[in-house]
Formats: sequence, C-alpha cells, structure tokens
Amino acid sequence: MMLHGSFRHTVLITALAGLPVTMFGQSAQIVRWADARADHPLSRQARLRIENVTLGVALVRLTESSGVALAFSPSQLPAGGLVSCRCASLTVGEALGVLLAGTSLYVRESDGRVMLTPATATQPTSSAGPSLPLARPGGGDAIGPFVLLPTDTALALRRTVDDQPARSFATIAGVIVDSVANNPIAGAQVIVETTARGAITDASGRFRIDDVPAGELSLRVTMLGYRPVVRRVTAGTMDIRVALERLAVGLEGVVVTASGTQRIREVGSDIARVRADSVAETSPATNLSELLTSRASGVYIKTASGSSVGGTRIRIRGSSSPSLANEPLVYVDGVRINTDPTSLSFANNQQVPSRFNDINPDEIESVDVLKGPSASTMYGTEAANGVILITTKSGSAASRRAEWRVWAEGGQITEPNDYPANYGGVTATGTPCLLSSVAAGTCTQASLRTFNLLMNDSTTPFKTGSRTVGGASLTGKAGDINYFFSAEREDEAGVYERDGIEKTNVRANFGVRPTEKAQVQVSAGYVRSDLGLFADGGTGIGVVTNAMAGGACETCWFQFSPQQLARIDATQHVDRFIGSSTVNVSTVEWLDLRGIVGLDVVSRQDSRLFPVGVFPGARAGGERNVGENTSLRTTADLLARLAFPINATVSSRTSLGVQYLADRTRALTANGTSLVPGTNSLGAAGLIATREGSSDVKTLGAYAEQQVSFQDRLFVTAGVRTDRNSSFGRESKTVVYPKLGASWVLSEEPFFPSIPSLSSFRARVAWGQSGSQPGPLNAITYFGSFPVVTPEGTNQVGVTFDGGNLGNPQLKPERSTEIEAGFDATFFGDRLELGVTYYAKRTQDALVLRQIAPSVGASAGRWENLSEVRNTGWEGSVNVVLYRADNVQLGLAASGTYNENELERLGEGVAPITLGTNQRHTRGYPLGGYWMRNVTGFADANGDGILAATEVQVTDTAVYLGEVTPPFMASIQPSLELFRRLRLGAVIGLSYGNELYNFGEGFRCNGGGARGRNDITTPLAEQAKCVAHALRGVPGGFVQNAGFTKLREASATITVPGSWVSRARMRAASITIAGQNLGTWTGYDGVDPDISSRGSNFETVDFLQPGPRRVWVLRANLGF
Amino acid sequence: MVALAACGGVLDVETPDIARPEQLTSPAGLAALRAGAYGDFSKAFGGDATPSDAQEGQILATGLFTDEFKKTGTDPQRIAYDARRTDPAGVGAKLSTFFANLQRARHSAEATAEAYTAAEATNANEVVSEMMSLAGFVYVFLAEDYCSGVPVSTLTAAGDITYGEPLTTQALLERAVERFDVAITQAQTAAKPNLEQLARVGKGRALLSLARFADAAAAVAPVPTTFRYEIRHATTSPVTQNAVFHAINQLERWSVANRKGINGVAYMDAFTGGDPRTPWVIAPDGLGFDRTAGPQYYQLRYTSLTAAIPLATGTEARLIEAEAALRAGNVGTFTSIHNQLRATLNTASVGPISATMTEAERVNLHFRERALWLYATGHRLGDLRRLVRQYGRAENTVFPTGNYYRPQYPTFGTDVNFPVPFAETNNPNFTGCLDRAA
Repeated sequence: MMLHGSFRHTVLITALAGLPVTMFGQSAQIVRWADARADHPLSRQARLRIENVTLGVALVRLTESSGVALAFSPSQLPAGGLVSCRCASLTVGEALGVLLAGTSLYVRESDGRVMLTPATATQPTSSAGPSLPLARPGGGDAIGPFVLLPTDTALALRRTVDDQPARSFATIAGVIVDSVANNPIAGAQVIVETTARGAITDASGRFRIDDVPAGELSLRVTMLGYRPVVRRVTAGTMDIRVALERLAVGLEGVVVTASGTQRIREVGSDIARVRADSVAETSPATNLSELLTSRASGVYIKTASGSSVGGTRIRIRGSSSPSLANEPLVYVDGVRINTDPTSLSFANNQQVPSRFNDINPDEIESVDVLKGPSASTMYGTEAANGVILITTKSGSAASRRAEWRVWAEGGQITEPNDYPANYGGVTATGTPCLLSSVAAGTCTQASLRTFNLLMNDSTTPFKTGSRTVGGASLTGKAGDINYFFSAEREDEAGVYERDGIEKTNVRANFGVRPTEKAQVQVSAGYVRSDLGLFADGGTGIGVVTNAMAGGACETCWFQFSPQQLARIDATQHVDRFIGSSTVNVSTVEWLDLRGIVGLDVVSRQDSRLFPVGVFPGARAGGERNVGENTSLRTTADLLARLAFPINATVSSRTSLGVQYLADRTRALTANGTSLVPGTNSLGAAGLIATREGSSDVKTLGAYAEQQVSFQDRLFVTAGVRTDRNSSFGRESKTVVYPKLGASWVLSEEPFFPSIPSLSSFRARVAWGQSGSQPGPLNAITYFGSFPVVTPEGTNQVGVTFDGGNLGNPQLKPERSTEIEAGFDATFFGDRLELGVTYYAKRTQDALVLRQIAPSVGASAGRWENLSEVRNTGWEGSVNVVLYRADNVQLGLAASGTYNENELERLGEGVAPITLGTNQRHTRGYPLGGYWMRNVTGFADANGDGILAATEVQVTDTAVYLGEVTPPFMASIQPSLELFRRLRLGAVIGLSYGNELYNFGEGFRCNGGGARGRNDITTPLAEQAKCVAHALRGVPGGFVQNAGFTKLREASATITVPGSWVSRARMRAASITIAGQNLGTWTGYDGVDPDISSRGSNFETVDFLQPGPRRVWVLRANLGF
Repeated sequence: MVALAACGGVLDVETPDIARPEQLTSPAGLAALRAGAYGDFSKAFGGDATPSDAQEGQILATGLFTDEFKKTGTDPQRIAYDARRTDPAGVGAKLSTFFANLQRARHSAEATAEAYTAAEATNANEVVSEMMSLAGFVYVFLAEDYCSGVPVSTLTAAGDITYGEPLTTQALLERAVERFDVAITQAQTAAKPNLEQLARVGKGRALLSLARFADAAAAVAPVPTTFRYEIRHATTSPVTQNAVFHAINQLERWSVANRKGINGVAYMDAFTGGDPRTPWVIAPDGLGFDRTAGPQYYQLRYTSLTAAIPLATGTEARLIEAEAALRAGNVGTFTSIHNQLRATLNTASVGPISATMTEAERVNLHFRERALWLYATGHRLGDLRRLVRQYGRAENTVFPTGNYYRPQYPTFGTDVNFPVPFAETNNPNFTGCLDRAA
C-alpha cells in the first residue's frame, strides 16, 4: 500500500506495506518503505525518471522507484525550485547526488537506512554533479533529532527542532497483551500522541520508547483485529501494561484464502477465526482438536475415546453427504494436508489416531474456518464440507533483535468419570438369580452383590497420568530475512498402561525479500511421534469393556484382565513433513502474483503384538500386525491478482488462479500368527498374510474471482471455480462451481441513520457452490482379489465382487449450494459486538452408496448421485465487556449454532440405507438417525416389583428415535481480569438436541450384570429398558437424550510484573494453571455423552469405552 | 485447462490393486474368475475366519439356528436367532452378510460358467459343470434356509441388473435341479466323474427337499459311498481358513450343543456313548466368549484351520436312498443302508439299527442318523423343515423349544427359517417373504 501525504515537518516511514497504515498524528508524511537489501542501499538502481518536480516529491519518487527508504525532514528541504532527473540507470547514491546538488543536505547510511541531514560546519556542502555527498566519517552524531525506533520495523520518526523546543526526555516501556487470553501481542503499534514517537511491540508484546517528553502522555495502541486503546501514562513508567480487546467483528482483519489476502470487511461470508497463538499459551488443550472445540461457531468435534489417542470427527454446519466422509479440508500455509480421522492399519478399539492432531498448536498463529460452499467455492470439488485454513507463525512481525520464547508445561491426567458397578443377585447357595428368574419363580434371591472393578482401588486399571511439554521458539530478523524457529517436545502418559504420546515438533519458517518487488516465504514443519495404543474399551479387548461387562466380584473381569490387556504392545510411529514455499511478486502496483508449492508427506508405521500364550483361541499362538503407510499430498497453486481503481470511488480486483492437487497413498499391511515365544517380528511368524494397497487422486482446477468495491464500504464479489478430477477419468466433464457475495459496511454510509449506541454495522450475504468427490475408484467396475484354495488343494488368487465395485459411469461429484446472510454490529463504542448468520445449504446429487439388493450377487453397493440433503441453521456470536474499571474487567464471549439436517430425497425406489443395525439414512429425517424398536410402556401387573418381559410393551418395528449430531451447540467464555495481573477464564460448552445409544448399559442388561436385571429396588422405568433390551431384543430404551453442558476449560494466568521480569533479564513472563474437562451436567445415564465409540462418519454408539479424561497443567511462558 | 488435463495426462493415475472385468478374458483371467467363484462359495458355505469375529456361512448359521450349536458369544443378533427369534424385518448385519455371501457365490459361479462358455475355453465343460453345481447348491441353501420368497436377480457382464421376483421354496429347488442337470451333462462331456457325482448328490438333495424321493434316489444311485467333494482350507488368510473351527474352537463364540431346546439331538451324549460321529471336548477353562453362557464345548469334526469340509458325500447319497426307501415302504433297504453306513464306523457302540420300529420311529431314527452323519455340514435346517413339511411333524416337536438357556430370552421363539434381509428391499420386486412357514 502506498499513501501520500503532505504534512509538515516530519517524515514517517513504515514497513507495513500491504496493510492498512494507521496515521500517527498530524505531522507525518508517509512514504513507502522497503527494507534495504543486504547490499548497500545506495548502490541500488534508482529507476527514477522525473521532470520539474519539487525536491520533496523527487525524494519520495526515488524512494518509490528504488525501494530505498529515505528519511528526511521536509522542513529542511530548500524552498522553491524544481528538479529533474533522468536517473533510471543510476544508482540511488548517484541519483541523490544529482538531486541534492547545491543543497546543504548530506546523506548518511546506517543499518540499511538512508537519512538526509543538514550539513554542519564540519561537513562539506554538496556540490553539483553526480558525486555523492558523503556522511562524515566516523558516525552520524550530527543527525540530531532523528529517532530510530528499537523495534526496527522501519518506523523512523523525525521531530523537527522548531516544533519541539528543547525539553527534558524520558523513556517508557511496557507490554501489550490480549485482554482475553492475557498473552503478549506482537506487532502492536504504540504511539505517544502529539509527539509521533512510537514503537512496535516485539514477539513478547513488549515495547520501549525513548526520548518521550516528561510528564503525562497519551499512549495510543493499535493492532489489527483489536480495538484501539488510548491510555494516559507518566513518562518514565517502565511497566506499562495495556490489554487490547479483540474485535469480534474484526472488519480490518485479514484472511488468506484461495483468491489471496482479503480484509474481512470485503468478504460476504462469515469466517470463524481462532487466534491459536494466544489460546495455546493458556489453554490446557493437548492437541489441535481440543483447541478448536467450542472455539469456532458451527464447528462440531467429536472424540472417540477418553484416552490419549482418540479419533476425531469434525463437522461444519452439519453433514452433507450420506455416504462420503463429511470432514472439512485442511490447509496449512496454503498446502492441503492429510487429516485422515482414522489413521491406523488395524482396528485397535477406539484408539484411532487422527492426523489432524499432528499439528502442534504452539506453532500456529491463526486458524480460519470457511464454513461452507458460500465461502469455500474457490477450493473446488472437495470443499463442500468447509475448509480449515491454518497459518503458522512466521516471524514477520519480529524485530531485528532475536527474541526467544520458552515454555514449559507440566500436568496431571486423571480419570474423573463415574462408572456403574456390576450387579449380581444370588441365591442362598450363591448361584446367579436374576430378577427375571425370580419373577418366573425359578429361584429366590438371597442377596445382591455389587462390585465396581473400575472404581475400586484394589482393582482399578486407572492410574494418574502425566504430561510434560517443553518448547522454545526464536523469532527475529537478520537482514531481509525474518524467521521463526520452534521446537517442542511433548510427553504424555495417559491413565492406562501403555497409553501415551511422545511427540517432537520442529518448525522453521523464513521470509525473505530478494527484491523490493518479491517476497518469498518458506514454511517447513516436521513432526515425529510415537503413540502408545492401549486397549482402552469399546470392544472385547478393552479394559473398560472387560470391567463393565464383568461380574460382581474383584476377579470377575469379563474375559481379559487389565494385566493381560497390558501385554498387548500396540504403537504407531509417524514421521511427517509439511512444507511450502510461497512467492509473492508485485512487478507493477496493480498486479500481484502468488505461487505456492508444497507437500505433506506422512510416513507411518503401525505395529501390534499379542504375545504368545497370553490370549486364548486364535491368538494363543501370538499375533503380530504391521502396517507401513506412506502418503504424499502435493499442492501447486498459482494466483494472479489485478487491483486498480476504476475511479475515485470504485475499485476493481480480479483474481485468476490455477490449482493442482495430487494425493498418493501406498500401504502395506501384514499379519503374522503362530509366533515363536518371546519374539515380536513377522520373521518369527509361522503364518503371514500381507496386503498391498494404493490410491491416487489428482485434481486440476482453475478459478476466477472479480470484486468491485465502492468507497471501500460496499464490496460485491463474483467468482467461479472449475475442476477436473481423476476419479471420473479423462472423458469426464469439467465441473463448474460459481459464487456471489456482497459485504456492505452500512454504518459508514452517509445515509445510515444515527442510532444511539450503535457503533458499526455491516450486512453481508454470500451464495456459492462447492463439491465433494467420490473415491478414486468409485466410478469404475472392478473386482477385489483374495487368496483361494481350490478343490484340488492348490492356492490361487481369485477375484470377487466382495472388495470390488459395481461401477457407475455416470458418476459425478456432489454439488452443495449454500446461501448465507448475516450482519456484524458493534454497540456502545465497541463494548458489545454481535454477529448473526443464517445459512441454508442444499447438497444435490449427493452420493449414496446405494445398497444393491443382495440377490444381484455383486458388491454391497454402487455409488450413485441420488440424494438431496438440506442443512439450515443459525449462528451467532456476542462479545461483551460487562464491567470495566481500572483494576477489574469482566468480559463474556459466546457463540452458538443451530443446525437442522434432513435427507430430503434418497432416490426413487431406494430403501433407507442402514448403517449397522440401528442407524439409517431415511428420507425426511436427519442423516444417520437412530431407528430401533422402542419401549412404549410397562406395567407391573402382578405388583411384585419386578418387570417381566411380558410386562413391557414394545413397538413391532423400528421407529425413529433421534439424530446423532447435536443440532444446537454453544460456547460461553467468561473472563475476569484483576489488577491487570491476574486473568481468569473458562470455556463452557453446550450441546443439545441429539441422542446417544447407550449400548454399553444394554449390553450389561443382556449379560445380566446391570442393576436393572438384579436389584429389585431398581425403578420400574429402568427395569423396563433393561428387560426390553435383554429379554425382548428391543434396544430403543437406551437411546437417550445426550444433551450436556460441560465446563471444558478453566484457567488462571498471572503475568509477572515488569520490574521482576527485567530483573531476571527477561522480556516477559507469565504462569498459567489450567484444567480441562472439569464438570459435566447432563441427564444422560451413560459415562459421558460427549464420547462415541464407533465410526468416523455417522455410526455413533456409546459402548463400554472410557469417558474423557481430566487434565490439569501448569505452564510457564518466558520471553527473552 | 481441459486441454491440459486431457492431453497432458496430468490427471492420469495408476490403479495397480484392482482387476477390471476386461482384464479377465485371458486363460489366466478366467482361472482367476474360477478361483474367485470357489472362494465365494467357500465363504458362503464354511464362513470367514475373521480374527476378531467369524462371519457365519451355511454351517454356522443353520447350525446355530437349529440344534447343532449354541451361542456362547455376545452378539445380540446371533443370540436372537440362536433362540429362533429373527427380526421379521431382516435387519441385522450378520445374517444380511450371510445372505449376500450366498447370492454372491451363486452369481460368481454362474458368471464364471458363462465366461468360460463365451470364451470357448478348452476346459469349459469341466468348469461349467463345477460352477453349475456350486450354483445349484446355493439355490438349495436358499431354499432350505429362508422363507419362501427369495428373489434371485441377474447381473450381466455389462453391469445391467435385472431384479428378480421372489421365488417360492419350490421354485428355488427346481432351479437348483436345473443347474445340477447341466452340471451332470457337462461333467459327462468332460469325462469328469467326480464332478458328475457332486452334481448328483446336489440334485438328490434338492429333489429330497422337493419330496421327489424316488427321483432323488435315482439321481444319487451312481454315486459311490466313498465319494467326497470337499471345500478345502489353508492358513493363507482368514478367508481360506476353516471358520467353523475358528468360531467354535478358537473364538469360543459358538459351542457344540446337546439336546438343545428339548428336541435337540444329543450330539454330545452320542459321542460320550461311543458314537464317533460327533466328537467334542470341553474348552480348557470351560467358559465361552461371554464367560456366562457356557460351558464351552469344542467340536472335533474339524480339528484345525486347514481342515476340509465336505460339501457332498457318498454317505449323503446313501442316506437319500435310505429315505427314499423309507418313503417307498422298503424297510429292508432302509435298514440295510443304515446298517452298512454304521458298519463303516467300526465300533460296537454304533451297531445295527433295530428292525422292529414303527414308521415314526424309523423317521426319527433316520433323521437322527442324518443329524449325526451330516453334523456341521449345513444340512440340519433343511431336515427340520422337511420334518414339518414332508412328515407332518409339529414345529415345536422338531425345532428347539421351551426355556431358552440365556438371560436374553425366556423361551425359544417360533421361527423355522430366516427372513430375507432388509437390504433386499432395494429390489423393487421384493416386498417381503411370501411365506414364513416351514
């Protein structure tokens, strides 16, 4: 961005090219700054051609054409006179020699800056001609009142002598922090009003301004995305602390999307942003999924287990596809990455690691969520489920001084859940005697035994786990290179034996400007992790399963004891590299080019061992499972953006881009049995079976977007994306996705009425389409292959439709169309911020794995574009300062979403699609809803206090019992700041409207260990559910309301006083204590309604798996 | 972009893991089709020995539904059909998969026969014979296991589907006979007597279910008593392993039953009494998978994952002849055949049968003999239904009845066959079973 002004006396040079520039007072002229190259700035090409302009204008033009910053005071330029210079082929130094000839100014270069200062008596006056007026050897003492700010963000301020008479000066210093997270804010501008002195905060949020006038000062602090603050301070104060409030609306914030950087005020759709850099420092979240949970409205994250390594399910604005995965795309620094939610070669209970959680939250600067097709059109065929854009830290706001940040975290992990006891009614002789047998008169219950294997100290398999994290980052600039290095080590031991994570993340990001016109950003992240995959629960080889399905005694584990299960050695080792290079080139002012090339390489080794002699049956001889998996995702993206004003009020911006994506996966799995005792290798297996698999998907897309803005208040955007994809073959048609959007900052319009208390108001609307593609082989007919023994006894390979596919040549991508409309408003001087969005998304040609009637004898299904799915809903957010005083500030941020999901069409003659036994996609109902036979009533007819099977009424057929995804979700985040040192915060999550099948309790009823089968004091309603499940095969009674309110996080952060920090030679320090999963309020009868033990798409059931763990951490953040 | 994508080949991908239909017309490709048909049939018949849980085939499914096995696992659907309580809507993954596996085996066999014929392969007669026999057996299984009203759809090589109308039990059996007849002819042309005998036993079994006893006897007459056609197994992978052994002796989710539901045959008692035909042993810890429904009894018919399972035998041929003789009133032949078979056991515990029995006693004895001879080979459900259908026995006198042995259900239910699974409602011609009677 280039701004010109003609102000008195002072030159301000800023490095915030490309960003809006805040004007500092009345006495500034702003010219474009570009960092000097490593070579001498005076040796650069001037590229200047001027005719008859004033010297001041000439110097500004020289700055623009050469990229070399010139600091000078206009008041010291000679008045009158015009200069000319055909200096295109000259260096800057030579050009200055021409321009300054005959003046009393001389040139001084220091640390990449060029300053023009008046000649002193000891300095020669410039002479005519191209010779350079050199600075006095030995230094620039004579430059007088020039001030170079220590942050070296190229802010140079010149205060003229005649405006500012001599007075006494002092220094001020302090720190700028986020008012919510209480963490330092880097890059904030701090200006002493009326003096034009200022600084930009470093990575620790700290600033220092020298030579400020003594006495009371007004300090103005500004930062993009935050509300500006003016604070009165006294010169000489060294521990100033200013807390900036984040702007919920954040109209001036920017997002980097497929079509380039855009201000939020320009975008017609609602984009959720999570400032991960601030959240991560004070949150107990142990991975990225937890970090995002309850922090981005409309984003639903479900976990599969309470252990350290549990799979995740991410949904944005509901589920759109009956059969495809409904996961959003994820980009890291412009590169699409692998986020496989169930990334494991073999089933290992609910321990299905998610590749999403490989990303280290401490490396992330921000996370932007494009929620649906109206926002994600430009991402093409696979973006219908939304796009999560992750931007890692870059060091771009760093100072020239290298700044260290060190953090250390220690924590405790506990199992806080209540698990039900096992019951066993017995006769006088100790033989089992269930209530049903009592009712039938076949036994008499003499006593009731209970025992809780999970809660009893002598038998519980739970232990107190631990978590330690240590990391450091280095941020700064060296010459033209800004850099960010980070390394973190994470060690976690969960609440079970062998349950844990050892992870190392390393990141190196560089930014460099090889020329004034070009900028290169290199982002490279590496993660190595070793996961311990313990048999937690959800299946027969889980600890929780074997406890809850066991009996009422301390040795009555269902099948396997914890000691046996702990002998299973299951691990996953991951090496992963995500890297990208982004090149931005601006050869002319109206054209920007951006190229991104990057890749995501995941190398995964899964292994599991069942030792010889520990498990019975098929595993008695031991079993070894091995999986080697490599995936490579490549992204290449080229964008050209043309921006220019059409006239004084209308501007145009055109974006044209091409994107190429290639995903390649290779997998090799092997299972070995009949092991040699003591071994753990396929090499010692008597029987080995191996499989090799591969997958390739390529997409080539092009996109164009045209935006027209009117007076920077009304923005109208139209765009189109076209795609071709390998899943449909060469002959397939190109798919086209259009979009339209408008954003109007109405409150800035002259006609907008003055409404008391309303500070700003923006209306927005967006419409767009996007798609979801089927799998790479879904369109073609093929057979799977498998080993066969012929009747002659020979081993051959046969082909079969089992594992094959009955193709569909007419297959095409799903097309999701979404319209959203909403507004953002601020009230009471930004004290209350409100955002409301309505959206309606319709997915047509939704892909259905249409079940083929088994009588055909082919594959189980065929992919067809049959169905139509509707998602409509509301989203809202509010951010309010409830009370503010000098030492107290009480704030509240809240967001909520309500989504209605319905399968509107399933195709002519298509029967409801069953998902397992109890869930279906049925027309007119939410996707994946529960359909089961249900309990309709009960009556203890004979009054014996026991419900017999005949005393429970049930439906004859399966009926709809509710949806599995919560339609209503909300997050409440209160915050309280005391004495500017102590910050208390919490995250409260609410989730209502869905059901959860408590199959775990039903299973206990079946097995006879539930209270409802044994205890005559059990309420009849509970008996009815249990009896129906166990004796009538009717599970519906255990489909229960899964609504809950959960205190997900609470934290307290103390910021160490500046004087203490200085004494320790640090820049900043804070200490946080935070807890996760601290309380749940629910009517659900199971262990926890926030856990599902099945599937990554729709299948949802609570089956004897562990509930969420509780984590407490103590974290220290230090800046040096 | 279109030109770039199309001409530059930037969207070309490799698919090395799959076999396209057009790749299977060569001799090697045809051999893969043939092997696939064997494999599909093996899975439908013997099951799939998946490590964590076996998938039932004809033997495990019908054995559990009848009196051969009882359930010692925890799966609710299996417990339900063990108790003769199938979901009338046919919802349930296990039985749905079993039905799909049967139909896939049928299609694979018929399509392979068609492919060999179309390719005019040198061994087409032999392969067509064997494939048509395998298809014929699937038709028999569908008729024996399911309600009346099982559709059979067709899928062409081009991928076109013709949905079938529900077929009555009789129609299914007649289709089976048609396939066996083709198989016999083709085997004779190919001079493969072993395959001819396979087809003859299958035809006899189908005709027996059609109550065409004399025709059945005639069909199996040429089959020597020593004949055996076996489905082979190997440890190569779960799909090649003996899933019956796996489910009972390894997973412990099925168990040998004894006098199940009052009417059940005393398989275990017979062995204890010296009859070697149904060997068993108690599990080492005596407990099954669910730890409560035991005791767990291992079967010893198949003693390893590689044990072969007979699909058709000369013994069955003789039993067919014996029944035909019984129906014809030829008690002498009936008695003689049984005694000859029992004599092959070479044990005094299984001596000659009594010559002085009533008609009903002979029927009882005959079906008990079939139960013992054909134990764990997938015949029992067809026999129980025939007892009701052809011999007028009341269902509650032949099927397991009375108190169920697990807490889930107080008593056995009343089902005498499986419903066609819910997934079949994707066939527009299918609305439900025509008749759930035996």
